[in-house]
Amino acid sequence: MGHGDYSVDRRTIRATSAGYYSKSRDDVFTQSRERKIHESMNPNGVKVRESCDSAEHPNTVPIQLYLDVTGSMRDIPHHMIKEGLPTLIGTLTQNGIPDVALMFGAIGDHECDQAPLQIGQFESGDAELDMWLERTWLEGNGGGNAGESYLLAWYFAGNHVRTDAFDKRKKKGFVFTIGDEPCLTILPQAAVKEIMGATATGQGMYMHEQLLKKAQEQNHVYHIHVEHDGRAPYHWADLLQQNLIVVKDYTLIPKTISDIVLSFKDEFAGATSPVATTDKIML
Amino acid sequence: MITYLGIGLGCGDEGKGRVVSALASRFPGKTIVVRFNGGPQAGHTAVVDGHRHVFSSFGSGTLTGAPTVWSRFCTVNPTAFLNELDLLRQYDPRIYIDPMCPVTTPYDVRANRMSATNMKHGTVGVGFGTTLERHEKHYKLCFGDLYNETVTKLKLRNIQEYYNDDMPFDDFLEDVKAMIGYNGVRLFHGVASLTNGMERIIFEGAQGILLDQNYGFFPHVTRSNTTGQNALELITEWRLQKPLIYYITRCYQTRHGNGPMTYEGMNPGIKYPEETNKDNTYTGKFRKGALDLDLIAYALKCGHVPFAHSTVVITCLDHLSDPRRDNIRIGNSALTITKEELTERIDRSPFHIDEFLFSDADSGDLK
Repeated sequence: MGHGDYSVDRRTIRATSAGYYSKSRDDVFTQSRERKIHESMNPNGVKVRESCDSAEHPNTVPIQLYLDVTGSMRDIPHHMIKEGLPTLIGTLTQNGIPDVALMFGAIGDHECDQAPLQIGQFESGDAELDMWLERTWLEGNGGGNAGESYLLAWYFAGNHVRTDAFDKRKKKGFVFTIGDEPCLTILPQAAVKEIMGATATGQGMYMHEQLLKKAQEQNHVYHIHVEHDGRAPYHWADLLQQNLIVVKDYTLIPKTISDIVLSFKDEFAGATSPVATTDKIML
Repeated sequence: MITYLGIGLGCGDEGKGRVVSALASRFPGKTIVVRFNGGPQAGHTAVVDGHRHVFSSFGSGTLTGAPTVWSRFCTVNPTAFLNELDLLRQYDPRIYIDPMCPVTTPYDVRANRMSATNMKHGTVGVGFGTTLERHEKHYKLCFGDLYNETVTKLKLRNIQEYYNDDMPFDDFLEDVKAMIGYNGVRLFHGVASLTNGMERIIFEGAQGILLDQNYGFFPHVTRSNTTGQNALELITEWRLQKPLIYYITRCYQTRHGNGPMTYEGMNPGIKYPEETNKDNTYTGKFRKGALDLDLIAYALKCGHVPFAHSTVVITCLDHLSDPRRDNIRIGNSALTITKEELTERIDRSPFHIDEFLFSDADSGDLK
């Protein structure tokens, strides 16, 4: 996966005719009417999602972007499809990272949602990326429990993602989770089996720290916490230290992500640069 | 914060106290224990540093300093509370009691002990069932009421009428005063103020699933939900994470007093050490029998919580007469089986068990 080309101009024309700027959220995200996960985004049975280099994109920079699709967070995917996505990819391309391979994931709550994890594919083209975003089911439950399942993003990134960037060039990719709740800390094996089916990995339960560590082996892992009514970002700072970014205005998220990725630009430019430290971003 | 839920798979006496105490001792000062069913009729034994205590009115984490939350599903008996507090004062126990907890009065205890029907059904004789029955009939006295003497007296007079029992209540009022005057007793106003800085919250079940009012063998049941049902209700309400569940059983069957029991005649292959559960005037004989895998499978099914991490803890292995402690008698087979075989056979029940742990009665360590 990871073909296609991102053209901001072409995308603007297509987005206008697709009605991204005028349609309601439920008209853009059609799974809301179906009330179920799009089969192509169902992680059940998925062994691995791959980000591969190609002639078109010889130097892929894999980015996994996991959006919380519970409750109030559903406005963020809508903003992404309206203007966030072209801002994000456009900024990266203009600033010298032309080979972005972006994969969307959606995060719910493994304690109470039907589809706590949805997974797209790594893509570089504007049409393909819009397609995965459109297919995302904004389930919207989340439940009044202790948090959401951001740890599923780390589970997937650590166990079911393979990238040429790391395998061929020892370059870490990026994992971003975006949400407004604490992270659930336990992922029982029964929940993994329910989500992944036959391709579930591991035995026994997972703790969030353990999954985070695994994901960090091949990725720079960030969490963007969307702050409402001034509440502290729960335990996130303890988990991620400087890799926790707090934003009050969610329209700043695409810019935040492109800034972070760009701060690693040198690393991706030079074929043999050392693995970068993660303490460059302080917002 | 991580949530634990400990429940018994049998008729009580499974070793819940020891398991809760072992879990609480891992994070001393950072653990809360919540009781979510029954009342002071429970007798949960914990041993810490040679100090042995049978918990009834406090949570089993008290010896390692864990405060107790006494939730609205539990009854309170001020007299029993004071007796137990006397034994625990050196630990400065703290307990947060829900104002809606039903209060057991001496009238409830007397009615319980005088009822021939209760005796036949297997009572513990501390007035738990009669208290709840009275509450169902609207003659209520709740823990929050005790802070208002006028209200307490008016309600006690109604209770005298309800039972047609004119025993005076002066002694009881003294006990009430002493209980609410103890500075470790606080009214419970939500869990949020208590969980700050805490690492673990343990829901301690009382009795066992086979005594549940819905799943047990009526009429030999207790008037409460002995599965995790009440705990899960509180967990949802308090916005806690889904619990890690510990299903607890001894390596043999036990039962207090009357009620059905399988393989009672079969020697479960144990020594008969001095232990908590002596024959009691009201509870009747403490009965023992070989383990019944069908009943364990049934209890696991009744207590099943979808997608939760499930652990089965098998306790009291040091009661086995086999010195290797690996020779467990099950009634469903003529042979004794090893611990490993036992775990395999329990895991054949319809629901997958993620983990098995073993413990002794004298140490309580989980392995």
